[in-house]
Amino acid sequence: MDKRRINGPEISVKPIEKKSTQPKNNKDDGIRKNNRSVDNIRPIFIKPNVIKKANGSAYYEAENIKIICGVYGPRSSKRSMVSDEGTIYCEFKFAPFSCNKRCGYIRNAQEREYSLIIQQAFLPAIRLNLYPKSSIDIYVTVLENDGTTACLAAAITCISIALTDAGIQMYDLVAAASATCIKGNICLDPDASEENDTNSKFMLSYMPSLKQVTHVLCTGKMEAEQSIEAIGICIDACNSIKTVMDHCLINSH
Amino acid sequence: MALISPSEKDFITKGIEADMRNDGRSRIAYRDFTIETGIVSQASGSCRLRLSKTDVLIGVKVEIGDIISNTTSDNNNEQEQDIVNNQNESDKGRIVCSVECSPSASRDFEGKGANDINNELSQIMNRVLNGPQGGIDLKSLCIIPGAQCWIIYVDVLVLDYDGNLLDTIFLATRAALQNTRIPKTEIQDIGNGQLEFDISDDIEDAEKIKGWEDVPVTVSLNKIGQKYIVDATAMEELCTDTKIIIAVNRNGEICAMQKSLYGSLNPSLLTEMIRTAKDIGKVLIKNLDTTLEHEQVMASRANNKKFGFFI
Amino acid sequence: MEIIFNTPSAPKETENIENKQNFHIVTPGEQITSDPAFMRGHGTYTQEDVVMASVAGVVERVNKLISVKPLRTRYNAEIGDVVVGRITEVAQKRWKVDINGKQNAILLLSSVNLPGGVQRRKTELDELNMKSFFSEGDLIGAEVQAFFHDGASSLHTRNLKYGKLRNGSLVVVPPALVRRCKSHFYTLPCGVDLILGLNGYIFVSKHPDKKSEELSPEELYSNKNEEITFYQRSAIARVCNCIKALAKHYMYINDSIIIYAYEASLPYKISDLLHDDICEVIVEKAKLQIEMQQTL
Repeated sequence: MDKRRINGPEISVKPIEKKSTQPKNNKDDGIRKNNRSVDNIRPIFIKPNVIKKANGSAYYEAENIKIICGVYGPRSSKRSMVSDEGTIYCEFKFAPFSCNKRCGYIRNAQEREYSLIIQQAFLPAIRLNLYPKSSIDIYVTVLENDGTTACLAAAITCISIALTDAGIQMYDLVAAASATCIKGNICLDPDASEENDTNSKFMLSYMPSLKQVTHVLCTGKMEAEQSIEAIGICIDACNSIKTVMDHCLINSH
Repeated sequence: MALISPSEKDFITKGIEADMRNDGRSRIAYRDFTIETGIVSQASGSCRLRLSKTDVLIGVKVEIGDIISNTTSDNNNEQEQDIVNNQNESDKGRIVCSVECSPSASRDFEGKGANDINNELSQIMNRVLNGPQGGIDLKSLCIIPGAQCWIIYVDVLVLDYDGNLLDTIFLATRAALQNTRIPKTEIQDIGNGQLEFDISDDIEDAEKIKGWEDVPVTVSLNKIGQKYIVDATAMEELCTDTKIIIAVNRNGEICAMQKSLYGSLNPSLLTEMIRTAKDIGKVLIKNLDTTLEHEQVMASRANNKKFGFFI
Repeated sequence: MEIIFNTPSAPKETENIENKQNFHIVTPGEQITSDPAFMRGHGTYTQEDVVMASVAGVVERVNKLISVKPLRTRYNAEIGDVVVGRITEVAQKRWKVDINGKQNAILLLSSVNLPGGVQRRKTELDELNMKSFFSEGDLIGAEVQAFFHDGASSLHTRNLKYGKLRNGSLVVVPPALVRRCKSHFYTLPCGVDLILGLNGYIFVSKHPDKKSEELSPEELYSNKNEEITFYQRSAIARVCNCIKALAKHYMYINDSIIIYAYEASLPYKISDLLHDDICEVIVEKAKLQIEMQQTL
């Protein structure tokens, strides 16, 4: 019971949805819904410097995914023991209205795990040795969720822009792409309905100029060769996302 | 806080490059395991697995619970809710995993640090085991569709630590699930479309979990310098900059993959690691199964001595 | 590749050692003697003129001194002990060192050799640069110089054979297995240097190319290892495994038993020394050789 807020009724039930009859795919690919091709990524819009109070921020939108991110730092952290390097602290949260099912205000285990994943994805990219005894705090809120793995990838991309907006020194921008395996084909940027249908989800974050993978997350059964193929496809996707990021950063100046 | 000196780190890194680790092993050599199943009488299945000093005890309990589908909104049990968010079928049981690292195992397992480690390990386990990649046939756990199902609670207790915790946990989980027996249920139709079920008390009647042979095991690969090793000791883990955890099942399929720690790696190295993990995973499963069979044969003989914690 | 799963097996019956020596084992609260002539040592207390044991262990009697040596305990420092420690903290004018004892030991800035000569005066710059000498995690060899009133030991590294340890790896054994001897620094015939810390930390390293007297001040505190060949590395790994095998079988650790165990292990691959059965074989052979040498 969250005593700080006025809660809704204790038992609330989602309205019963009528099962919609999905229109059969009748296009050439026949693999994905909405007539998307196998390597289609939803068009990305990123705008930096949307939260004036934060040192850096960014807003990311891709069709039905909307993410906002604020970065504070480097600021001196009470948490730091005497250390030669800075630390990254990340808080990832789905807004209560963002998913199909209402999420609570308190971070659940999955959100805490995603926070840890984002932290690990950025540790190789940020020049932490230039910020001893300081902490870089990253706060991400997902305003609209259309595919959890795609959201995670989008969040990583969004945070890269926010960090650049904050002027934090990095070795390279981090781009991230998500994929899933539908009928034996690796399909990029799955949305929520595609994610629910399949069991395999793949997320990769990559530094395009340095050609280094900073994080990989894969769930669901895949052949070893398929996962290697997925890595290659995601890396190509990350390279194209990088051009979008560069474009957005240069345009904003 | 575990500490290591820069010269020790350099010594270990150069040793790994030369394929001669501190204890003489090659880069892809494992230490010896010691395994024993069926040592906790109150649990439906149990296993204790030791890898040098790393000591892990798994207890599996099967209990009857409600099938939670997407139409109920009940934030009380957040862990189960997270699992359900990934499933929306009303005829499946579920597996709930939780890891607890005992503070007596290591200084790092005290206080707040322990929460992070416990959460990370529990999440990895839930990610691997819940779903078709976890091997277990969740549909077979359903008793009354839409109402009641078997819930498998896997509780991991880490008693002692000397590196390579995750591999030990997954191997022991596989052994514990092989050891688990679910009581037989009889469903009766009492009219009005209502169903009731009875649980058989007979121990002989209990059945194995369907699909335990497909439960995957993990192979943790630690990248140190420009090479990678398996089965790192605690010291070697302090030198690791990137760790990749790959879950492999007995058919060589990849069931999960996750990177952790603070480094980054080349895509070609990642590809090589996946291929190595696949080979090693298959060997691990084969040898584990052989030992479990051998243990069952010994148990069926007259002098069935369980050592438990005596050794 | 070979991955072995063992099932636990019953331990072997230990041979009867009653006839070899008379061990008097006591438990806490047990009466040792009521003779007032005896002085009490460690591990005992008096209650109404009766000497009682306060730990579980073996009674040791040296002339008129009675003490009880516990079977397993944290390391108890004595003045003059050679120890290997790990720096845990850098504080004002001192370092805190973990020596596997009840408390962390202290290494004062005035107890280390400052680069530039033995008689150099300590300056303020030295205090600020303490991290450049020893920083957190470093391994050092040191000697116990004195005790503080709270029982923490004070170390010094004012000899050239002490100081920062490199080119090797650490093996941890129970402190009771390392006994006090004349020297704790050995060079084995296989080219491996050994520092037997009385606190159970044993450092096995490559025999250095340069003697410690020839080291320049920068090199004294450097973290850089020398070039180590594959052969030297395997020798170090083999010695480490032998020491771990001896510790598993509760044998006292000194240079001669390590040499015998090393020779006994030569027919096997280094990674095979991790298996329990081969450990037993090597330890048995080393034990036999030690006993033969003692009877000579």
